[in-house]
Amino acid sequence: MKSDMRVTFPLWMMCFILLIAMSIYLIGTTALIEGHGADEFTFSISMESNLTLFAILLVLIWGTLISFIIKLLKHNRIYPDKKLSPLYLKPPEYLEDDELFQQSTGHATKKVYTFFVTAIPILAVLYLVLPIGKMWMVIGILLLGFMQYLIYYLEIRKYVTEE
Amino acid sequence: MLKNRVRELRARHDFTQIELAKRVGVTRQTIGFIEKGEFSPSVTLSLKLARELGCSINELFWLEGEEEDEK
Repeated sequence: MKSDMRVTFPLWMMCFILLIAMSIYLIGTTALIEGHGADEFTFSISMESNLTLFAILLVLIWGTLISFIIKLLKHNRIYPDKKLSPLYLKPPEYLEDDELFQQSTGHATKKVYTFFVTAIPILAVLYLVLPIGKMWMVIGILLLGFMQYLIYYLEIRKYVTEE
Repeated sequence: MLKNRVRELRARHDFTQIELAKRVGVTRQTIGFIEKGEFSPSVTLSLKLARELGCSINELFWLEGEEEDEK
């Protein structure tokens, strides 16, 4: 069960979210946006100063993406009746094999829902009140996504620890 | 809390958790959680378990404290 990618799917998503956040931070701190009148602006990224960081990030993104696809194909080969596709509308991490997992999925989604009910209004108020830049706003939203997967994974893991 | 005799009767029938899980159509984890008393199965699953373990549902499951009352 531990090798079932439906269980590890949130970890992969957390990894992708971190990489996206890192990309946004790197681009956000190196990009230069210059306005030319009301309708025009130029957007430039100075990669020279952070060439090593950009290269590391690119390797990490491609490495993670390739590993993810390999794991996904392996999972679909091992579990032909539980095939996963990132294109499904229903989150693939839902475990509904039997009563226990239907209940555990219910518990996990309830915890995630409770988190969002509190976190979204708090984040909205912070964005309204504090002078937060666009980059940090996007990173804040990504953080919510990261927390969502973390809460879900920690709850589901309780039911799959014993082998 | 729901108490049960699943582990004891499973051992008597010489079933592994996996075998019993297959017979009643659930995952092995579910049998493990039922045995530990951490998961209360539905009536349908309880009936299936009772059938496979050759006993009545009352012999298989009872509420904590009720067994002592009966004695």
